[in-house]
Amino acid sequence: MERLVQRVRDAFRSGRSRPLSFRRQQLEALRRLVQERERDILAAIAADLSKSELNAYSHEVITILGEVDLVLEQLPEWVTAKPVKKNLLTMMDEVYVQPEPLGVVLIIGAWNYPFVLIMQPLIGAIAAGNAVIIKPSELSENTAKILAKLLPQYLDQDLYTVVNGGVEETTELLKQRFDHILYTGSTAVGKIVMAAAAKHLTPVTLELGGKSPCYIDRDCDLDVACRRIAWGKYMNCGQTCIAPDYILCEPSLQSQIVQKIKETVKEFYGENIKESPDYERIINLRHFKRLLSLLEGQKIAFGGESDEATRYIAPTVLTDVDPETKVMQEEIFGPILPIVPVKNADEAIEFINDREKPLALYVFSRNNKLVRRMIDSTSSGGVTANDVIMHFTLSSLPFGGVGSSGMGAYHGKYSFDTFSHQRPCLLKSLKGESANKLRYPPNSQSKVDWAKFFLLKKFSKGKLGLLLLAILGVVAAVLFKKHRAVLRREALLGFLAAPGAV
Amino acid sequence: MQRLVQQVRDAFRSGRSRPLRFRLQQLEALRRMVQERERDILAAIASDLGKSELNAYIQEVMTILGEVDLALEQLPEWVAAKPAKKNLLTMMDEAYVQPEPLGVALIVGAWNYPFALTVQPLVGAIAAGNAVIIKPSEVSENTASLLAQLLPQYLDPDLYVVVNGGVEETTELLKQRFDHILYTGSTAVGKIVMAAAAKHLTPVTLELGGKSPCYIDTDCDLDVACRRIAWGKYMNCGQTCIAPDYILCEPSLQGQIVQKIKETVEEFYGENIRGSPDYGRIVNLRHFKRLLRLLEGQTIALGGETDEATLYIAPTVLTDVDPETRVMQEEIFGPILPVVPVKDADEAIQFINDREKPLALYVFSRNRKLVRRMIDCTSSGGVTANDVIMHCMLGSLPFGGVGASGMGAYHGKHSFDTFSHQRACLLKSLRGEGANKLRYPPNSQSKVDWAKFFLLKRFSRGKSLLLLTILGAVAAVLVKAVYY
Repeated sequence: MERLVQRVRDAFRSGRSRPLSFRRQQLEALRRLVQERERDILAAIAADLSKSELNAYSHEVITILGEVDLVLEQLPEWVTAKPVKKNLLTMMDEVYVQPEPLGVVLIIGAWNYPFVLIMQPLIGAIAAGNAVIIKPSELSENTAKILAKLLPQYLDQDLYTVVNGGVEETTELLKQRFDHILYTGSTAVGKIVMAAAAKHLTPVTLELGGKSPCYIDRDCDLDVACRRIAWGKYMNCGQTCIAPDYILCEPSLQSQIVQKIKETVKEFYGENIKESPDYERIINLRHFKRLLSLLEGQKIAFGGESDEATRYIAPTVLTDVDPETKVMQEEIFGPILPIVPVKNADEAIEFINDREKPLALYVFSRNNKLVRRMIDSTSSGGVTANDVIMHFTLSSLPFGGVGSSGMGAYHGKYSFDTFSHQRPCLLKSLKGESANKLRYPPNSQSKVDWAKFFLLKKFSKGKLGLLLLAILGVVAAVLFKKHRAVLRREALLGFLAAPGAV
Repeated sequence: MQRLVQQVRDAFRSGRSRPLRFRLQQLEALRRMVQERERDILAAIASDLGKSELNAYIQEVMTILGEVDLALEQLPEWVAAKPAKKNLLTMMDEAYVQPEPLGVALIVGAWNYPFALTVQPLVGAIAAGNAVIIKPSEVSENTASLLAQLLPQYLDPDLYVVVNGGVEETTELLKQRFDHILYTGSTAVGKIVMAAAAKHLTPVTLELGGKSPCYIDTDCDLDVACRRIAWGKYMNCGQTCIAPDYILCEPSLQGQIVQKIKETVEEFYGENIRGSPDYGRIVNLRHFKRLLRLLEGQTIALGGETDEATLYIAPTVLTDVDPETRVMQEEIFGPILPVVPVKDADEAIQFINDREKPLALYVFSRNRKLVRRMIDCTSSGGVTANDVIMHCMLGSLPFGGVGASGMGAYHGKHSFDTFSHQRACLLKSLRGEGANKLRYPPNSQSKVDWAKFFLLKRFSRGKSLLLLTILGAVAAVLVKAVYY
């Protein structure tokens, strides 16, 4: 593993990945990969997640095409140095912040959206001029294999390398030194990644998870709210990091919500959900069993059917859920939607704040003031009001967590910034040394006063007027003294010339 | 320690630190503290660093006044939500990024600029609406005691708390949970801080160090270059994280460089350096002894005199330094300036790249192309060309390291951003459900084609023909509907 990382580092050191034209060329190759090998990619995702190829396209491939197009268009602007505001001392200098590549980046993917969660960070890392080691999740085997096969066929093989394997290989990989690590996955493993990174002082971006709460206000169009929530919840069989994890609402709304979600589920998947090509399966037996254990002792308002052979769990809603029970103690990551009754919005806010900061917060209400109050009184990675998931799809918004839901963010330009070092540069001239005399020893009270004058705004603004007047006064006095003789003569002449003076 | 942090966290939970008015009020109080208690502050710094009060003012207090003034002026702009560029799907929505406080921030200061390195981050943390625990370095005792005494007299004593102590107390403190930690100090301890932070998934800003190289080109005004370098090197007796650590230059320049630095040192500190109020001392015996060891076996071209009783080490220059020797293996952090001869700029670049990324890079040359080449071919936290230190003094530039010299940055607005969470917000309406039908199951090829049309720019641009076709089809349908 050490030799592999060293090879990638040597490839970076060659400087090859830095020129803008090279980065664009690689990104264009990536785009061709996605377009030409679409069939293979969709087949791999479909096999891993028991998903239809159409959905694999809508969920993953389309996002990557959009991202690479955005980057190809914006990159020339992103790579340029940004001039910054100067002060009196640096007036004559060139001052700017130059984005630069960090070096060798490690991207660790997750299994739930195995293609996009590798490719979207990869686009940013390439755009920023780095070399990249890609470690797809071993749980989504087919996508892991196809990435290992396809990337070397389209991208520079020495700069961008796929490493596959399980816990053992990943642990070995994490012992190596990188210049940035972007990890998508669980909070528990996030801590392990950061601890490994600490040994090398490697900065990290951690896209973790949590329980994303969804508050439904009484002043709300329940039809629309429930449809949107059901869409986001049961997509990918609940295996989405920003799926609405649980619902908070007043008790009187519960049964309506259940009813409307039931109707929506029928609209989406038909009478026989198992037959619907749009309804996925749980990724593996371990997660299947984990999810079943969450149902124990719960009031199943609808759904609850499961089939171990196909790892099928029906879209399920639980009502009157007790916050102390298992289903409310861990991120669900499955098609089980608990409803926890709360008295009102205030209690919902308190409930949310008593828990770890989630990756997403959802609020459904026609009342804009309430929406803003819920946002202002809580914290979360991101927020979508009156819908779910959607803040993920706008690449001008940073996507990331806070607290135990993660640190750092990416998507669009934020990816580029994440994988860059913003280097401040101050280019002075060797001339103008006299201006520097103020700073050189020996120091004196007058030097300090001048420094205050030049550097402290408040001092300059308030006292500038007075000081200027004082200076003008001094100048005037000096001039007057110099020319006193002349002035006296002229005054006398003037006096003599004035009528009636004599 | 756990109870103390919990108390601060409860104070944050009260929501008191969040309103803009409160933050401005606290920052104004901080400013008053610095102005009213200037004497006490300068005296503390002066006794910790063997520094004159005038220099303590210039080097630390003035920076803080400038920083607070900037924050007071800009904060209303900084706290405002920033609208985000929308796409076709979100055209009717409100999309913005809202900066929010993180919660409880921990600021661990260093001893070399004990006031500035604690209070400058504090300004940013307060401005961002957080509660803060401040841990000054125990090595700069007087400043640490003074901060513990003054801060509660001016700032909200529940939200902003000073914790003093040594390694034991700091270790206990690092076991607690924070929402951000800003640490200034050594690379070794930086790793310990980050490892402790990892247990709680606390994001960190690490302002570390390294050996900041200083390349002097043959095409250069050596008088000016040497004066500026000597100023930055011997300031605070070399105990500055961005001091030019060592010089790289062609062998022919060594003699002149030594001569000019010698002349500059005399200009600055006079004949009797020990008598100059502007020349500092080494902070403690441990560092004094460490620095003496670095001199062993070296060619001392200038200086080298020391006095253990007063922790004095003269401004020193070493020539023909061997890169394998001890003085080139660790950050010097003292008034010893090694000159390492290199063949040319290319060799200098390779030398720099063979080592850890430094906190600062310095290049002296009249040749702009060479300056840019050195910058482009290397990496470092920051760069000043034709001077030293100065990139740290401009609040609009982010100040931080990269690689072993650190992660994250602060100063000015960058401090505010460091201590904030940039929360992505998308506010949609419950109306317009028709537009969403495309995304709901059951999926179909036509839904996917429409999604491509709406979401993929390239597709849209290239396929204006498709749009015309669609319009044509719509028109045809309408005509048919009207006529039949």
